[in-house]
Amino acid sequence: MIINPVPGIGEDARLVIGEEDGRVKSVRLEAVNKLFIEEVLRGRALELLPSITPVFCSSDSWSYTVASVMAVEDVLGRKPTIPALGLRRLGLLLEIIENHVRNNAFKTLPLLGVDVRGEALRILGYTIRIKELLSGRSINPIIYVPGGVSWRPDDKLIGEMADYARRLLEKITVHSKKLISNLKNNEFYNKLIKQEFNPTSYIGVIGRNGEPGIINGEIALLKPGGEVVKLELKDLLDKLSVSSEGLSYWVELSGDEPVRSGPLARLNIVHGYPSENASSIYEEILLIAGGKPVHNPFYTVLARIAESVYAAELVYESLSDTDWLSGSLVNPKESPGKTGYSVVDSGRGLIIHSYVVDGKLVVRDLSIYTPSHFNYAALRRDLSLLTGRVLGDETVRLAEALITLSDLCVSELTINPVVKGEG
Amino acid sequence: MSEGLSIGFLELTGCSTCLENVLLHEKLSGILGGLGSVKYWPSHGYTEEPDSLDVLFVSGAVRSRGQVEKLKKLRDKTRVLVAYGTCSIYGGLIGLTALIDASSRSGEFLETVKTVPDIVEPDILVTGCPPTRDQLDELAGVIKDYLENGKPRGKVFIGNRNSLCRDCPRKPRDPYRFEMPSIKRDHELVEDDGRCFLEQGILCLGPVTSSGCGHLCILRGRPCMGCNGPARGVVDQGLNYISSIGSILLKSMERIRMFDYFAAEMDKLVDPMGYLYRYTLPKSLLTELALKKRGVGEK
Repeated sequence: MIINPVPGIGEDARLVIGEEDGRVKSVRLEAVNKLFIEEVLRGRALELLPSITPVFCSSDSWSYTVASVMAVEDVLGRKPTIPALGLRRLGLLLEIIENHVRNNAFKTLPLLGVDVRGEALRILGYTIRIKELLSGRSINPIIYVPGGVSWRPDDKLIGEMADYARRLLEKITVHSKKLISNLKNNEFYNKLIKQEFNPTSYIGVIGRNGEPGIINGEIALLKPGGEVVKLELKDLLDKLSVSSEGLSYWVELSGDEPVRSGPLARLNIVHGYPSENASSIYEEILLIAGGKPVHNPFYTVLARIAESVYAAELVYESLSDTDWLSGSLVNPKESPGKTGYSVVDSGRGLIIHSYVVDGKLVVRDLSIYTPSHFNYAALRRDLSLLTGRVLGDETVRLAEALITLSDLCVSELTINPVVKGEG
Repeated sequence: MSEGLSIGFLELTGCSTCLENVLLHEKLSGILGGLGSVKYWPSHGYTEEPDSLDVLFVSGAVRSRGQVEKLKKLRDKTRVLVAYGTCSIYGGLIGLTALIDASSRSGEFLETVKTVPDIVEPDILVTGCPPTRDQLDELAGVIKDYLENGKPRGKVFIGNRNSLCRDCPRKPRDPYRFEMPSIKRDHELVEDDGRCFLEQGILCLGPVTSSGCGHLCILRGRPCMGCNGPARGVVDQGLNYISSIGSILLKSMERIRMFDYFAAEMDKLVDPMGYLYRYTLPKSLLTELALKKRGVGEK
């Protein structure tokens, strides 16, 4: 059986289910399209990468831009200013909300028979409006530059953004409560979250107090047995091994179980979401799950709800008191080197950029790891659990849901993560 | 009017996130009938191909043979086809791969990047990465007109196609002695004094880019990257740009005589493809020549 388009992905991939005597013999997801754009990043002027790499996945375009700007900063030896850090965080929080609302409402929940697309559009309307006010456009932001930001909103615009942020928070809080109650009464969902899944490792960026770190924190790896290891970015890069099949690439940590990044990973890694409404959702999730780590990917739906509320609370908080916006926009001090690294824990998972430049600041080698690279190995294993099941509508729906939960993006998955120069 | 409308979204090669803005724009969404009218959007759960569509929005560039077939098939079923976003019309960022012969990797891929107008005739073209709120306002009016008056009346370009410089909020100090002192790279702009970027030595693609975007980047302290596509009369964004800055870099004849000034400055442009063709490479003369040389035939 071949399914194309694949829900949550579209026509860029197909789901191939092998059958024997009416039962599933094999399940695999095959990419059928590719951007090829990683191949033209080598040879580009370093400073142009923040405007090009977002094309890998524009539902993560703010995260890609920031990840790239941070890696460029690392090459140039520039330190970002306080307003820049605040405006980056604000943009990424908005994108986290969008990612989670979009994935739940348009991709995963319809497969569970839950339709909240209208509500989701209203929420996205607020996030997109704030992003437009911030950067002029809702995707591919332009204000982030190495060492700072090119512009800051004035008081009038901040007031307008804060008003949208307040309405966003109200809307998303009500929506989330309704959705959790809906899911609690959803027979199919309750059946799914009780299923056994193999343990995996989890990776993410964790803040000083155990909160989601996004761009400010340490990389934490939670092993299946519960051990937490803190990693330097360069050490993590040394441990990553790349595999490929067909057009797809993915990464694994040497000698480890498949490693997930993204909302489920953060749910397992963080000590909580330290804001009023999100923390109570977090406690409720732990109650339903019976503790952590949570290995069942269907909990991703709940993790997305908690994180989107958390992000909305932080967005409102940061727009209500904007003292952090004063001060220099750009820090021009620099001492350029030859390499630069960055990590961003985006809504969908870890994005890592690593650039090597020549004396003219032209990119010669680069590595770009995406959330899809991290999550694909775990997805392959999740799909293999379907082997032996009766091949019917429910099994197909389950396979599709596992794909949407991992939020794969074929553009990302088909990037060769390591592009080396010749010679 | 929106009652019973059927609309679809086709995502070709590209990020395609811009398509979501269609339903998030109140006026446009109202005319189209909102989410209730969506009949086809594979990545968003509407996977069944309908028998006919009133409006189809197509984003992304064309990279595979399957996409060519799909696009042609859906064109035949659609009343109003909107090529949506710069990728669909000029290739956009994906267009940077136009010189990669992907067909050698797999027969499914094309030898180069094609655009929607290369394959089918769109009724409406909307540039932008993503198209702006103002462009969507205009698009809403045009679609309303189409839907009320039946058959489309020919190809419509959304947005002002004058050059960005024409009504740019950043003015040169003296338009009669307009000089670009040198070429600086984008990250070298650390103390923006609010003047015209070219006067500060920054490569701003305003002279060759259409102003339908409303100067969004320039108003936020960033030079134009060319994402809204070429201005009216611009044949090749990169070549036309070199010609434009040539005239202002060549202002001081003394400098030319003494230091081979222009050539030395142009050498600072370490990545002309990235700077000048970031969004329009497939529609450039450069690509046309390269493909001819490779024997690919018509672009």
